[in-house]
Amino acid sequence: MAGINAGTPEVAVGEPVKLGTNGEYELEHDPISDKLVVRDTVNGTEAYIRPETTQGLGQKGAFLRSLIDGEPLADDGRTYATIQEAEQAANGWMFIPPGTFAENVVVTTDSLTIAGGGYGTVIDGGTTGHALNIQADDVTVRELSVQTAGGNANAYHGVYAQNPDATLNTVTVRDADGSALFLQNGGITVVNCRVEMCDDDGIRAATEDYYSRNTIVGCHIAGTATGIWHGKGDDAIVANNVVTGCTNFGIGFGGASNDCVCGGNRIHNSGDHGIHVGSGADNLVFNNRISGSTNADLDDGGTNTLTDANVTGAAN
Amino acid sequence: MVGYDDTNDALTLGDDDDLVIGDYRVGYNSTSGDWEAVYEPTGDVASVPTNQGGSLFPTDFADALAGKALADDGNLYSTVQGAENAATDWVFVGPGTFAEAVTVDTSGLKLWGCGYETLIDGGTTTAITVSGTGVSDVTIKNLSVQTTAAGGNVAMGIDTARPNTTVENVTVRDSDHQGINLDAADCAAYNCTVESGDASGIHINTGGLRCIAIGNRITGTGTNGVKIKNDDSIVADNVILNVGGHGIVIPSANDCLVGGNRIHNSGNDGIAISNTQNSIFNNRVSGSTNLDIDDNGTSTMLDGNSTGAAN
Repeated sequence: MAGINAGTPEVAVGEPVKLGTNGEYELEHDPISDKLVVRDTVNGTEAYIRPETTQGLGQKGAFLRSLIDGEPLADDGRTYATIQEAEQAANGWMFIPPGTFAENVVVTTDSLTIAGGGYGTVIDGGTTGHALNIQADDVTVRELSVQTAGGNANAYHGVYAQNPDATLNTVTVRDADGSALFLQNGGITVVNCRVEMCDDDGIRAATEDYYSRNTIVGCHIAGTATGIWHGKGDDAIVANNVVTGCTNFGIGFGGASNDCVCGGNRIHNSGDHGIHVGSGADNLVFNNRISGSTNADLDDGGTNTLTDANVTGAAN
Repeated sequence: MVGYDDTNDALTLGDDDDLVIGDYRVGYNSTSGDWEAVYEPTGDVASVPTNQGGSLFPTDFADALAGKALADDGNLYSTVQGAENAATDWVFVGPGTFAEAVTVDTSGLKLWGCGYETLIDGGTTTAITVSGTGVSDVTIKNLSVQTTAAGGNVAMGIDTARPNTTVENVTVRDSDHQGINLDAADCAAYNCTVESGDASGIHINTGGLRCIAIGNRITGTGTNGVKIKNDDSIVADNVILNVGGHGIVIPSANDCLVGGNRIHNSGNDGIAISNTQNSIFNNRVSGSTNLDIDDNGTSTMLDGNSTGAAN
């Protein structure tokens, strides 16, 4: 055989480089695996070559590089060594591949979506700060784990949401020095999340100030002080959660919580009341199954609380 | 140095190594990031074009992924099982039908499809099984599964016997046995669809303590829409239509919460209850062949349910 393609050796993306007078060999780049395909066109066999190093890949196949290198990916098409750097570069979306990231991430990009690689994506705040600190509006966090360590001396939370309208979906808090999810604004949605353990309350909402319209639905919570605590503010929804083995209340509402909805929860083995309603007004507590509480399963200290069809007493 | 990657049947070349094919020397230029073929007699160089920067995904990502599964080792596999075996934390399955029975035994794995067009067809074997000592926290989402009726009431869509499994946005197109079987503690099924099946659409089995099934749509199953056989589970806000058996049945579970479901045209009872202190509340049940709500339990809390012919 002889020669490289007659004429210019430049070929377009997706076209193979032909070697030989009659194109006996072809070279083509596989965009997904980043391997070079060497194809014998006479007998149809193929062999693959891949580089040992990813050096010099630049921005090619950034998503794949994010997975291979374990580096967070921003929507500028680049990967970064840390989640924080990716967050600073991102406009609206970023991806964190599986891996453990020892960082205290601060989110300051409004409307950012942080997509994780699932349970195996771990933001580990260690003993130095919150794992994920949301200081922007309309942030979505989904499909990742967070953790912090310590003995409640520092009160570092798994997720600290300081701005409104955040969404936490399928987030697992493996452990937290403070609260698992610390929600200190309004309109925050927590859905399908898990709390494995933490030193303080599992989900602790609206305690620093009055915040309304927080929604907590479909979560599994265990191993916390109070499972779900809503301190001040109105119109919260706490529904369809499973809360077990908390050392304080299963679910509690502070004295400045009004017009909240607490229904369809399964609460078992709380170290104090299963559900506690403070002195607020017009809260609804209905269709909950509460058992195994150290004190009364349902403790209603509110004004005009609607309690309906709750089932209390020992589990079967 | 030249190596051989036998998992992927590929040679690996170091930055300074070349592959010689006849008069050609092929190598990776780590400076430019391009593969190059050099014709030795003349020194002519041809660069193999690669996807250029700026895009999140390589060009033709969707096409290249069709019929393949990408593991987080960066390799493509022709089977989902191959990718699962290689993966540490994450598998992304492209569109296409995968005729295989997949076992997920990687703790924490996220098995993620392209949506309805990613179909895992187990044939006469359960399509996806989650198992393995110490395995937990597996997530399965955004894909379809099916098994064939010829399995003889054995092959399920998804069967998990490991705790903290989450099944989300999964469609069971058809199933020889149960559509989604939750048989371990703290599992969850959210926003799933069961289109057809020979047994229960969602089955919370005897191992399924504290499971959650919310926002699912179940139609046309041979027996029940949802069956609950362990305690402390929550079944809420599901739509259950035209199932051959009960819409929701609790044959052997206590302290469960069944609320906010819309159940219509069940072939047996709409909701059938046994055991103790289950709460059945705010359901709309109609068109049941037998009773809309059949309470044979002890201390059942029935509250706010609406029964009788649909409008």
